Amino acid sequence: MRGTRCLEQERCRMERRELQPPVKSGKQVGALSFHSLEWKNKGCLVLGQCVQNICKNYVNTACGSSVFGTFENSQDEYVESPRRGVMKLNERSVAHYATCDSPPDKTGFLFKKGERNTAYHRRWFILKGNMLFYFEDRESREPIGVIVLEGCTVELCESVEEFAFAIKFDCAKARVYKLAAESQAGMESWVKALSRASFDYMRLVVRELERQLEEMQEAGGTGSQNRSRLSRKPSQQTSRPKAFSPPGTTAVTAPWHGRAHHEEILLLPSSSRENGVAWSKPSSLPNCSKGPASSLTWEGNDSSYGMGPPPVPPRRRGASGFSVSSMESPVSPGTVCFAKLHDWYGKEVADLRLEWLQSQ
Amino acid sequence: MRFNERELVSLSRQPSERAAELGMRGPKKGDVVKKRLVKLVVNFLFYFRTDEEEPLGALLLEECRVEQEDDQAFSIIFLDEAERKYLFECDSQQQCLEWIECIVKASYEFMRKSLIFYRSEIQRMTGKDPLEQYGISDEARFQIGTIPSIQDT
Repeated sequence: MRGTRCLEQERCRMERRELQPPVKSGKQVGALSFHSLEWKNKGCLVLGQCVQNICKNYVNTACGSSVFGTFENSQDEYVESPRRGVMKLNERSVAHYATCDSPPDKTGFLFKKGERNTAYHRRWFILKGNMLFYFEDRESREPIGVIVLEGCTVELCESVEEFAFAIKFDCAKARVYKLAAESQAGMESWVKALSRASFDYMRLVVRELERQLEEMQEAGGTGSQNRSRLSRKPSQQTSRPKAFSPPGTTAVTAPWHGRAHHEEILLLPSSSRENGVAWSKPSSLPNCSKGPASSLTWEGNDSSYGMGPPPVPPRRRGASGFSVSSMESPVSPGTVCFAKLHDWYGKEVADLRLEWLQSQ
Repeated sequence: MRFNERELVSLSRQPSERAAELGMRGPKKGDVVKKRLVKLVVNFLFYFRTDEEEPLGALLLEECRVEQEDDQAFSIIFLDEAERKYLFECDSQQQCLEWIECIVKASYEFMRKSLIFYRSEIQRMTGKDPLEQYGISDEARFQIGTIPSIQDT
C-alpha cells in the first residue's frame, strides 16, 4: 500500500507533508481529514485503507515527530518529520501577477538548465518586479515556475553552453539557476535586468528620488541653487573603493567590507561600470522597525544581517554636510525604513502623491 | 507552480519592515482565526506558528487590495480571486491602520508608481531627468510612459 498513486487526485485535498519512512510503533490518532497525502517526492499515499486515521492535531511520539497512521495490512506507520515541510504560497495569485495587465520588465526566451537532468530547456521568461517567471512556451497561460529574485546574485558563468549566466543565492543549500541567452547582447541585457530586479534596489532608487524632491521642496522648488546641485555630475568616480569609503570613517567602512562588489548595481554612472563581470545585488538591508508599541515580536536592526546602510550616491559626498555613510540626514530617523522616512520628510509630498495616485 | 522555497524561507528570516502576532484567518470556507506571527519582508507577508522558525506560508503582496474590515481588523484580497479574503485581527485600531499602510506600500508595483511619480515631478520642476546621472534612465522598470497619465514633458 505504500506509495500508491492517488487515483482521485482531482478531488482529494492534498496536504503536503514531509513524511519519513515507516517506523514501527503504534499510536492511535483521530479522524480522517484527507483522502490521500502527498508523500514528498514519492507520489501519493492512498489512505483509503488506513485503519488509524489522520487528524490535524497530531499525536507526538517520543522522537518528536507526529504519527500519521498505519495500514491494515502492515505494521508500517507513517510519521511526519519534525520539520513541517512545504511552505505555502498564494500560487494562483502569484501566477496571476505574471500574466496580468501590468507591463513586465523584461521578456524573452532563455535556456534553463533542468533541476535534475543537465539538459537545457528553452523557456519563455517574464521578469516582473523581483519575480522571474518561466513558461513552457510563449503562449502558455500558466507559468511552470517562478524564481523569487530577492537576495540573489547574477553572474556570468563558465559553461559549455554559450552566453550562460547564473542566478545564485546566499542561503544554505541554495540552488543555482543556470540560464543561457541566445546571444551576447541578450545575455548582457538579462544579467543587467536581473541584477536590478530586487525590491531593495527599487526602494533605494525611490528613496533617493524622494529625498531629492524633498530637498527641492524645502529649497523652494526651482531655485537656481537647486538646479546647479541637481545638474552637478559626479566627476570624481575613478577608483571604485574610494567612491563609497569616505576617508577616516572606519566605522563606516566596516559594514561594507563584504559588500564592495554590490556598489555596481547602485546609482552609478553607467559608463564606468559596464565592464564589470559580475553585477551583484545586496542581501536584504536591515530595516528599522516602526513604532514598537503595537507589536509583540520585533525585529529591529539585527546585526547578524547588518550590512549597514547603502553607500551614498556620488553626488552627495561631503557637500551637504550630511553623514556620508548613509542616505540619512543627521536629524532624520533611520532611512532604511521607507515608511518612517516618508513621514519624516513631511506631508507635502505625501499629499501630492496621494492626489496623483487617486487620480489613477 | 514551482518556486524557490528554500530562498523564500531564507528571506523570511531577514529583518522585517514589520512583525507582530496577529489573528489570521485563511480564505477558505471553514478556516478559523488562528494566532500567527506575521512578518512583512519586502513584498512578502510571511506567517509563522508562534515560536516556529520556518514559516507556514507566504503571501506575495502584488495585485492585491487591503481593506479595513472593522475597528481592529483588515483583510487582504487578491484581485484574481475577489471572494477570497485573508483576514487579520489586530490588538488595536492603531496597529490595524499601521499594518494597512505598511502592506499597501509594500508592493513592488506601488514603489514603481512612486518612483515614476517622483521622477516625473523632478523632471517637471528642473527640466532634468534625475535618473540620468546614474545611467538608469532607460531601464524598463523606471519608464514614465508606463503610467498613461504621466507624460514626458
